[in-house]
Amino acid sequence: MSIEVSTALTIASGGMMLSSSFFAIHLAASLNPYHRPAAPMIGCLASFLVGLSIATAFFDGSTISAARGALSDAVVSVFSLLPLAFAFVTYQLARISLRKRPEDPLLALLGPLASDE
Amino acid sequence: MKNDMNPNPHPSMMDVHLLQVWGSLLITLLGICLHRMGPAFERSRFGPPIALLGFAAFVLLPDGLTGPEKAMHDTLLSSLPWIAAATAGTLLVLRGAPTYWSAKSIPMLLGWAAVSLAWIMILLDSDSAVASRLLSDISVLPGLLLGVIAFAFGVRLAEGFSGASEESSPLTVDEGRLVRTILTRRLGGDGDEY
Repeated sequence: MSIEVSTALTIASGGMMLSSSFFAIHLAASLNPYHRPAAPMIGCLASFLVGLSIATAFFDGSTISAARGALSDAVVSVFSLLPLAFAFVTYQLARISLRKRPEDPLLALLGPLASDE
Repeated sequence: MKNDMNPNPHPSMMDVHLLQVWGSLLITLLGICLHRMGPAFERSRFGPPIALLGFAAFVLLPDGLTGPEKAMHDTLLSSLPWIAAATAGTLLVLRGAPTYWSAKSIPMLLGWAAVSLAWIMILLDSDSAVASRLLSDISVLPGLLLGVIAFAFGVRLAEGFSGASEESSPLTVDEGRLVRTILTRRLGGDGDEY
């Protein structure tokens, strides 16, 4: 089970562009008078550009095509990994479904009295 | 070590597909982000319809999609049934779970049925190539994490530069009366004595 370094780097660069563009969209959509979006936006932009330059370095074609390819591959990878996240969610759902009320020491003291009544 | 993935054979259609796919995803994300602002901001009410519009535009794309977006579109559409079942099942199980030690059995049973259905769909849809693809898929995680770190660093910088804000002015007489009334009502009085 081996992978090509170029494929892994392309997907990782797509992941960088994906998360940074998501945060940039979130900053733009939730702009309000109490925001100071300049520094986070610059961080997102820098991260996007680093991802884009990595994707361009490993792609035969224009920068736009590299961005499209890397972003598409990253989205596909995220959706491929979703069942793993759902496995964790299912485990947590099983835990809360089977949860029993913990033994209360104070109520335990009342036990014999309650049984006498 | 160049990666020759998904070259687009129809450059004339590229712009159309580019706008259709990425535009609809952008609108969906915008809607979700607007909705996430919460009811304190009036524009948050436009979030769900905008997200729904973007999602519908993405799902109802015409045939003939080419380029790297085709694989993404196909993956998203093929994942939708199990994601819908998983989401419905999770919400139902959470609703039926014994949060305050009283379980609601019908939502719980329906929820677990939906969760089981989601797992059946996942297992039926998975193929033998999944394991071999897993390693390359996992490489998206460090990329996502780097984007998060860059954003968090920016937030930390912004907070560091903001400095201490000025002391707020004291409450006016009317504001003080309002606060006293609210507190008195919450603490059991009728609040009219102020």
